[in-house]
Amino acid sequence: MSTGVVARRTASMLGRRLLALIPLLAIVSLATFSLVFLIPGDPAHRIAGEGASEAQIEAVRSDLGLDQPAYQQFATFIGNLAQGDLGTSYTFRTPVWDMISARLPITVSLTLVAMVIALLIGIPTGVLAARRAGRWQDRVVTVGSTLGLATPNFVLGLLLTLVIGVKFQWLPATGYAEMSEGFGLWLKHLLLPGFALGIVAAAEIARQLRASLADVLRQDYVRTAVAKGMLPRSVVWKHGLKNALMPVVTVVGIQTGYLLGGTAVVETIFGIQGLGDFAVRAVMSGDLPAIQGMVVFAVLITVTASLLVDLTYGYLNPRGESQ
Amino acid sequence: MTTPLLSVRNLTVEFAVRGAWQPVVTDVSFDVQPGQVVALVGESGSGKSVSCFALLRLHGDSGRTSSGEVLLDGRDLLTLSEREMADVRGNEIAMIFQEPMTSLNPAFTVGSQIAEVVRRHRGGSRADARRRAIEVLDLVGIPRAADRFGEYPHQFSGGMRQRVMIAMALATEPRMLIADEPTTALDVTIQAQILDLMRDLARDFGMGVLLVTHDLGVVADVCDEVVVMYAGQAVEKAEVFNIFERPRHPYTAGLMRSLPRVDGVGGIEIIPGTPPMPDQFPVGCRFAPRCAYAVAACEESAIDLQPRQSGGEVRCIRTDELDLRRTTEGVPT
Amino acid sequence: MSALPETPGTDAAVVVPETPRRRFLRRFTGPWANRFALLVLVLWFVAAVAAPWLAPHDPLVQDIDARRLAPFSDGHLLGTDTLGRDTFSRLLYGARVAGMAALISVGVGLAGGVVPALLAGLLRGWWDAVFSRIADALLSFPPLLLALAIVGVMGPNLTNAMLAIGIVFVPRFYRVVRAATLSVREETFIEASRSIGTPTHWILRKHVLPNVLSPLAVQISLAFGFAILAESSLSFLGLGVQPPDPSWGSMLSEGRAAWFYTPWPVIVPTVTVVLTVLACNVTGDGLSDSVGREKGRA
Repeated sequence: MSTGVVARRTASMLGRRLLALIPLLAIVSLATFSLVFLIPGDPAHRIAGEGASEAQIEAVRSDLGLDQPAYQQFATFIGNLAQGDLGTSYTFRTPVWDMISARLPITVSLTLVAMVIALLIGIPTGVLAARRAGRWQDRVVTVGSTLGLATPNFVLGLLLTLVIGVKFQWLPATGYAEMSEGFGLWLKHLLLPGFALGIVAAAEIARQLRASLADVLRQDYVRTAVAKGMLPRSVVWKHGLKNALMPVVTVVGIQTGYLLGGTAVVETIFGIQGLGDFAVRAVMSGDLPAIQGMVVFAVLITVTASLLVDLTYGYLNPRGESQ
Repeated sequence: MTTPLLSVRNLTVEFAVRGAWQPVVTDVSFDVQPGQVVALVGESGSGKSVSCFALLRLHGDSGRTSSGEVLLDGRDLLTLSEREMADVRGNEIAMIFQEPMTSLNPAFTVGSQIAEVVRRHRGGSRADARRRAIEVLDLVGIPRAADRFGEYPHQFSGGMRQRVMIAMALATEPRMLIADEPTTALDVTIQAQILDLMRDLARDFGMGVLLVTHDLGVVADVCDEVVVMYAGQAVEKAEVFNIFERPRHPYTAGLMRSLPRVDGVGGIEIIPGTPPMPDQFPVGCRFAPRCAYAVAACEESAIDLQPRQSGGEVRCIRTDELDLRRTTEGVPT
Repeated sequence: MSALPETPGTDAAVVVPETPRRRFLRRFTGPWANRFALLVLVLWFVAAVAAPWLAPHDPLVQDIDARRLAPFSDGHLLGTDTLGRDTFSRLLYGARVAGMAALISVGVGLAGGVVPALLAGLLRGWWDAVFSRIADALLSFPPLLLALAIVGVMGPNLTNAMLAIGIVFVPRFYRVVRAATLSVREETFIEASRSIGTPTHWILRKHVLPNVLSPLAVQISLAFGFAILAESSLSFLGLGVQPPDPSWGSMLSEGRAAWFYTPWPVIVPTVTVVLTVLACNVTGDGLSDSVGREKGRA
């Protein structure tokens, strides 16, 4: 019955969160729309690109409705957005939605692999540091995570592709393989970029977990678990970890946004044609509809991630206190 | 006399204080028989909690047991491997703690925390463990045990949580229960209920109980034997009736005078001063600096624990000269 | 029950009370990592300010006779790149770019974040609701992507990149300052001050500012680290500093093709970026450990 209580509270929490999304999405779409006003000079000129003819510029102007008053432009933007119409990219001559949906699986794959790598590195090292708090293992993890946090992913990506990919050729230096071509091949292509992308998240997870778990392991209920004969593995990984995981989940939520941003750099280095690569190309050519579409999508992904994080809180913390 | 269930022999426990190992518990010995409740009594800092943590080897890296034996049915727990020790904990010897509010894991249901210890030591199916958990929750007097199985610790009151802790301890039918100030954090009526429960369980299941407390009132209610500790040493050991009738050590007498009187005659006297820290234990009698009866000889050299003909043992060179009864009319009858 | 908490320094007969500033300095300069971080930051500062005087060569001048030189050869302390440009000089000018990026972006972040936060924290109500919603919305943009989008519409160059990174900082500074202001506001002495008619600017200066300053300082040092990361990432992608101007990021992207023959133009900026970001992060952590109450670290 009490699991019912927890489920009910989670549901009402989710309801409140979804409600709070309305103003958030309103502001986000207004901000995204307003990007057009940041364009210096004539927006149509910039969007049409260098060397565009007068006719082409005029075509862009009437196409995007740039000759209409701002409120009307906004109404059109919102109306199209609600129908899932993100406009047409000027660089790719393709509807933005088609571009994004084609590339989304690639970037989601990369981000997921990066996050899994981050968790696989961050959690065991964080646990190790917490169990050996104050000893050499702790210090090694602390130094390692401090270094990891300070390494830009383009630096790491470059070193990985040059050394492991090009020099030793242990893993593919560039490119991407669909999962339909085989899971092994897919994973092989994503290991290096995933590592380059995930290392900062790994460092952050290790740091947070070390702090929270070291604190949890001093709690009375951990002593109770030892006193009732639970083995160290169960004491740490079950009784300790479930209580120490909240800050880690928070980090995972926050890092999702950083990972998405990082894909721009990592996909460029590894020649992966996902959303990050799309974003960089759109930005290079000032392709407004593509930029706006990418921003809207990125926000949707981070918002979904933070909702998932909130759901996890309900499971980890039955008391339902906010942090 | 039967062989004791638990026999603690010359236990010495040291803790790292400012970088040096200091004995916190020195040369403590006592026995617990099946079905018997033995109290370990003293002020905070007397080493009583440290002693019982040492029995289960629960002190962390900052503490170590430097000598002595802890015999459970003649088997020395201090020589077991970590894995063997984990098989003893919660199975043959269970322990409950002072803080019911923080001793249960907030992230798991109480039922699963009990079922876990059943499965750990007895194996069996989840369903069996669940059945056993509900059984012991019922046994310790938690109403609607089956419903409350799936609730989380924060949904229980302090007294109910301590019952859950006791249920968890009993779930594997241990032969020995160590209770570290189990009622200190609870209010008086709940205190009495919990103590009665422990008393009954010891009697009904032939379980030995080691009860750690600073409260002689608790001792009088439920215990058979008393070990009074001061500054890491046992200063007096006696049967509960004898100790209340005639304390033999000035410290025991002092503890008794600090209890409210049953007949309401006279006030409460507090022992002046505080117990010494482990790195400042006096050479001679450790209680001498606070003792109203101390003479020069008390401070010269260490005092031994001497057996008495009337039974029990006392660590005081003047015990035969002193009459430490409160007042004649104040003796409990 | 056994060990007393240690009380260092109580054996001195007379303890002169330590001023908060001195206590902060003692605690901050204690760990060697903090001192090292400070040293790196000072070197960065000197390089950024004095690059024109310190640089032995013009960072843009190509010398066909002196290409791909190893360090310490022919007056080139850190060698030259494939175009024969002096790596050390480019590094110094890169420090200048990174420093400007950090200063301007943090400045934009402060300008956009602090004033709304003070208003929200002190006046609450309507102000707080509106500004906080906007901050939440800005926070839901992935940081680097937001910067990319802004650079995309404004055009790829260093100034726009700095502005874009600054906008990323706005909601983050806003949150920190608002939280600190709110917590100060809850303190009774502010209520008391207001009730006796103390002017708002006085309250701001005497009570709010000192409390806001330390959490803000922590955020600023972390923001410096992120600014360097972001500037070098954008320049690496060709969206920040435009060639041939040197930046640590663009040095990396220019050097990568010839990496196996001439590793120095890649290794030098790599180490520099990592060390400088590291120094910013360590300083941020050190600051947050050194302000506020004394507490033991596990």
